Amino acid sequence: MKNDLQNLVDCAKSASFSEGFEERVMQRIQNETWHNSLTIVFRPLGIAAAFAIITILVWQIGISGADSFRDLIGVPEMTIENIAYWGK
Amino acid sequence: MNFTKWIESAKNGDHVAFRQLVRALETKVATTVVGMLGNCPEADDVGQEVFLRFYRALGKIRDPEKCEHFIVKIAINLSLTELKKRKRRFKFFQSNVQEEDFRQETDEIETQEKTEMVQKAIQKLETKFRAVVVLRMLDGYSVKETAEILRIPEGTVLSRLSRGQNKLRIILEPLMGVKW
Repeated sequence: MKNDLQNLVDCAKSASFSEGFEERVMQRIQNETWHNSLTIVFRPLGIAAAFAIITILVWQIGISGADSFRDLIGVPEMTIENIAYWGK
Repeated sequence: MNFTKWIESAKNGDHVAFRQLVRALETKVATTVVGMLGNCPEADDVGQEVFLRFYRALGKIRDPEKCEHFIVKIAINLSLTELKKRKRRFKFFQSNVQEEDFRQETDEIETQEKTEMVQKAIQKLETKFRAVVVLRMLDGYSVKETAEILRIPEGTVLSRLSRGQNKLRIILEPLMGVKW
């Protein structure tokens, strides 16, 4: 009984993918390789650029002489005088 | 087959060697993926993804002669993921379509039809039984290897295989006109 079922299932052993499968796989591998080489070149550049931008920002904030975040972005403090001034 | 040589060359970027690996392993992967998903367009996509993951993991292969085992593991895992996605998307639609397909196939059975019928019968099994049936009956792995691939105890493999075979018989008996 078991062998009969196995014999029947055996006919499904010869499954295959559609025509040109090998070529499609190799194409994807080529793309992957190309992408990897781009990543190798551009990743250090990206990290260096991000680092440079952060450094410039910190430096700019440093030389601006701002005492607080509010001061840095140019919003005046919410003092009675300022509120009264805006209300005019 | 000279898997060790091909894998070593493929690791060093030799695409010709990797093509040899694709050729050598295509049938094995197809049997597993088509067994799990059925003969559908997604099977082809999953097959490609299996080889892509295999390519990325070339550096992790410790025993090249067991790469067949390794790629079948990837194929089973990706097929299970695809089945989960499919279940979420087309649960209602898919069950209706399969019922209709089965009702149509009652006439004389040619080899091609028999193959399709067996594949469809396997698709009717629950995922956990299907994985064991595909690995044991289609891929020909031992109970121990099946347990390793699916990360389940050997006893569970045996019980799932037995229940899977019984379900398969129940599905196939009326369609094939045989009595087991």
